[in-house]
Amino acid sequence: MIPQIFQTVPIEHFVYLSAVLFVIGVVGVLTRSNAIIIFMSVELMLNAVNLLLVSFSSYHQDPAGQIFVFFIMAVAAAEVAVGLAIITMIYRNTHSVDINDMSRLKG
Amino acid sequence: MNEALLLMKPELIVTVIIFILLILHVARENSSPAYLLNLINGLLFINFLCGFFFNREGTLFGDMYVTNGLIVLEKNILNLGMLLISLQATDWLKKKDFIVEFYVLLLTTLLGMFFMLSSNNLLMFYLGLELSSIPLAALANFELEKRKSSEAAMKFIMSSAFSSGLLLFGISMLYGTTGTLNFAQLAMLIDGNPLQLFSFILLLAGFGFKISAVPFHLWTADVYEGSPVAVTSYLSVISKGAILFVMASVLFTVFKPLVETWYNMLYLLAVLTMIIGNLFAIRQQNLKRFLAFSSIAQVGFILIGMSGSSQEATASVIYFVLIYVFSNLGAFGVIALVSAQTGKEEIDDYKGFYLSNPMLALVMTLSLFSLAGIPPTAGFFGKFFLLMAGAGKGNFVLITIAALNMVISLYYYLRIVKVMFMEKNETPMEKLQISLFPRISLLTCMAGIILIGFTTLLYDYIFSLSTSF
Amino acid sequence: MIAITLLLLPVIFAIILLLAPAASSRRIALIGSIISFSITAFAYSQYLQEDFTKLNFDVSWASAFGIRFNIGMDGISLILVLLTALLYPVIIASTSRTVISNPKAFYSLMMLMQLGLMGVFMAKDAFLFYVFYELTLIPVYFICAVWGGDRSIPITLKFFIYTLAGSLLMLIAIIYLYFKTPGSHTFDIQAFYQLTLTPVEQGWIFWAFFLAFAVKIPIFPFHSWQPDTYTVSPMAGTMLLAGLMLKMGIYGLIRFILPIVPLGLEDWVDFAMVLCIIGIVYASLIAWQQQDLKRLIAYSSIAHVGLIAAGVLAANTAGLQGAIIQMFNHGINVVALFFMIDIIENRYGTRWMDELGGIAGQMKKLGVLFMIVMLGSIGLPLTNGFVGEFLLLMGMYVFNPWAAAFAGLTLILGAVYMFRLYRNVFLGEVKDHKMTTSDVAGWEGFILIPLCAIVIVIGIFPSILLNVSEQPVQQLLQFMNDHKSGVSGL
Repeated sequence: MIPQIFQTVPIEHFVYLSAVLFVIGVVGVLTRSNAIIIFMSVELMLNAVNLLLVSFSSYHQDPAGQIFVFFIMAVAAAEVAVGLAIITMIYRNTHSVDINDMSRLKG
Repeated sequence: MNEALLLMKPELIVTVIIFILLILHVARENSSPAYLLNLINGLLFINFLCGFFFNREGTLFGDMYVTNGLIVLEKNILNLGMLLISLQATDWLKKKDFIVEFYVLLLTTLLGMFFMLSSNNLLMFYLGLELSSIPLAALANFELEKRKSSEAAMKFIMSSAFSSGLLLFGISMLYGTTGTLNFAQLAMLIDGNPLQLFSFILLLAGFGFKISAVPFHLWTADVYEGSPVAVTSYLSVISKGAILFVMASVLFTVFKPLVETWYNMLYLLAVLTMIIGNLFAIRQQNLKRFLAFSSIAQVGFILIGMSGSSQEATASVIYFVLIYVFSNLGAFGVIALVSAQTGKEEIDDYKGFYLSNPMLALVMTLSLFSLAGIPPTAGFFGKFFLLMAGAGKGNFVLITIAALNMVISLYYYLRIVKVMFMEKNETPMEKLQISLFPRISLLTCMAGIILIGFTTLLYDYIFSLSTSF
Repeated sequence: MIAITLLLLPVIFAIILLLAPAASSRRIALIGSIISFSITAFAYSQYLQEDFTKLNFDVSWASAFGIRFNIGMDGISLILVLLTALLYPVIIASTSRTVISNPKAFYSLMMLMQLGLMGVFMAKDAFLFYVFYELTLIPVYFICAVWGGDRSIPITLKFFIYTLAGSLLMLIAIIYLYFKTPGSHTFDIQAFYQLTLTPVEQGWIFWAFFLAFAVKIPIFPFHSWQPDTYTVSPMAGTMLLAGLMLKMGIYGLIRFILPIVPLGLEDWVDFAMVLCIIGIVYASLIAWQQQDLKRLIAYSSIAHVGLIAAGVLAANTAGLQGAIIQMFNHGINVVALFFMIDIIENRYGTRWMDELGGIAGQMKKLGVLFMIVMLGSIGLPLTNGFVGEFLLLMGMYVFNPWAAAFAGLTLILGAVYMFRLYRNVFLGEVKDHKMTTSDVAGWEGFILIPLCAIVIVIGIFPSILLNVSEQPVQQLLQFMNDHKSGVSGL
């Protein structure tokens, strides 16, 4: 069902890679100020998860993880669609997509 | 009738309503707002009533979907809250163009919550969660012309996406160590190895974002202030309530083997949440922002009950959320009326509110008393049962901290009461018109606040539904 | 049946008040309180005939936590219920002179308050006790804040937060005790009496309860809310606070501290007693300096309840009996005094001592009535105060002669400041000649004369109350001693 060849790569490698990707994503979300880059970073986080799920799925010989990945991709697309629409709204109002400009609600 | 259809009855009815609205929107484009609102509220009322009949227990879709008495009850509570919010929003919605869109989005989130509540599988849980949070971002941005509204939506979608990222990473770790996504199997396979602990922390952080527990609360106040009142009340009552229900069931079923570990984390989270929520609530000037922080503090209280991890804990969390629906919506109902008719949302605008609108001031006072947990309002009983559930662990330090926080919270709730009843205003608010729908909604809230506490039958009923731990 | 009726009546009348026209509010409230009083009188007669069945009511309430709606009256409760029922018509009648804005709300709150007070005195379940204890706070807060004078808002807020903070400690203690009860836990106070707690636990619980009640009573140094609150409150609110609400604190001391944590009491009684005595002397001295009559009575009230609390803490028959009868007396006296001050304020437009004088010449009846109540208040023989204070001091003497000696100062100081008041206000020169004043009017006499009669009747026949409380007091002390010997036997 799932090619055995995947399992020749040790599982740790997948875990480390996806952990690194995930951390890059988290750091991106927390430090960048451009709203679009933040969304990219979130996508990176989600893709790290996808990678992890796929690899676990193949090591467990269980398709559930891969199915999960499809759903995550679909949901992420929906999320980004709404997010970009909102960014467009903000851009119309302020001509900027910098979240540091969104301090009107701080306090 | 087909059993499968009956099992999924709440979800199906909501879906049907969504389709009715969509078709109506296409077929009769020029319906008057009043007609639409009457129709929708009627449908929501039927939806609420249907929650009490033909309830079945069982599982569907290869054990992905589960329903039982407790879950049906939780869905009924959400339905009730939905109906009350919808009734309260009529004044505001009448002036808006996109009534149908508003309700379609709102009902979609409700559908998501229903799936989330019924989930017995991490995939189903994730889908429900996303379905319930993505449309909310669009709703937060509902006042298109207002910059504040877009900003609120932006902050909401970002924190929501970020927290789902954390949640998913936790889920994938859990899947990696156990090889299953099913709740019951997970509960058997979790043995507390470090990866599982790590994934638990990520899941808790994800939940923390959604219920706005400190230190994951930073988005809450901004989003609450920027969103329209109806969306704010939806976020703070329904959405939060649903996630709390799910959080309780995930903690109590999936992570049951790790109970000793998560007790300490929940303890810490509860204490931080209560203290920070309370301290920030004191200095707020905007009423919606104020309620945002007060709701953070309330979540801290709920976490105390949840940390009890017992049958009492489940029952008291659900009971409290029910009471919280009434008390918070009582307060938000008044704010919605004031905001829709005058546009005022600052605490100082409410000076002398009692003189011009005695009944509304009374409703607000009772709601705030209930939120503060002063007997004999229902809020007191809710908090008391939470404390009892938390005290079941024998940790009286936690209970003492909770009691101290009740005193702090009392101070700022009374501040609002004081402003309304006793302070003079140069430019007092005019007498507000209360139309039928908001009136029904507020009366229901009042009845709930006064009666639920005394008739503890309801608690006994919830208790009997909750499974023993 | 009687017990639950006493709780339902105020609720029913509160609802009637909200529905009926505002003009008749006071009359309806008065009728309600008089009905309550007659039922209480009936309860008293039932009690004397030793027919207790009608005095109790017990149904399950929240079975998941073993909470029962369990109310009933023993002798101690009965006396306090009687006091509440007796003072309520007086307090309501006393409002007839003042114009009250929004009377519906005012009298409904008064009724709600009555429900709370009755509930506290009758509750046999600790949770129920707590609920009623807190329930009294909302109406009194609104009465004092909305209908009160200048600055009433910050002052009553302080009062509210003080007392609520105190009682939350009690809630924690109650929850703790609940989890200590064996088997399926219960909030029954009787079950709490059976607990054997370690001395350390008892110390903590003692403090939790003591702080809660000390704020309410109030005992020095937790009294700072009290004089201000009394001063700014409307007269009815002051009467409620001084006449009835303080008694909840002392009642709590008797019900919870003595039988549940006798060892905690033993460890800390000296400290608590010293606080009480400091409060007595301090409040008396301040009362001596007061120019505002209402404030003077407020401070004298701190001194009196300090003595009562000290008598309770002495934990012997004389002290307890004295405390119970003195609670009743203090309620009667302080309400009568406040009422008369209200009359003075109404006639002369001031309640400042240096602006008043020679009232006895202008208002002869008031002079006599005030004298009677004043003598009762300072505890002259043949008045009610004498019986109570004598028993209290006797109880304290058994506990510690020095304590009794210092507490006895209150008698001397009380006489000093009350006579000073009488001399300055009722005797001496008439300060305001222009005033044409009428003496005590018919309905005022209707209130004052029975109160004065009670002052004297109890002074001569204290046994009508002492007999009622005798048996429960003995029982309570029995519990306490059993408990002590039981724990030390471990």
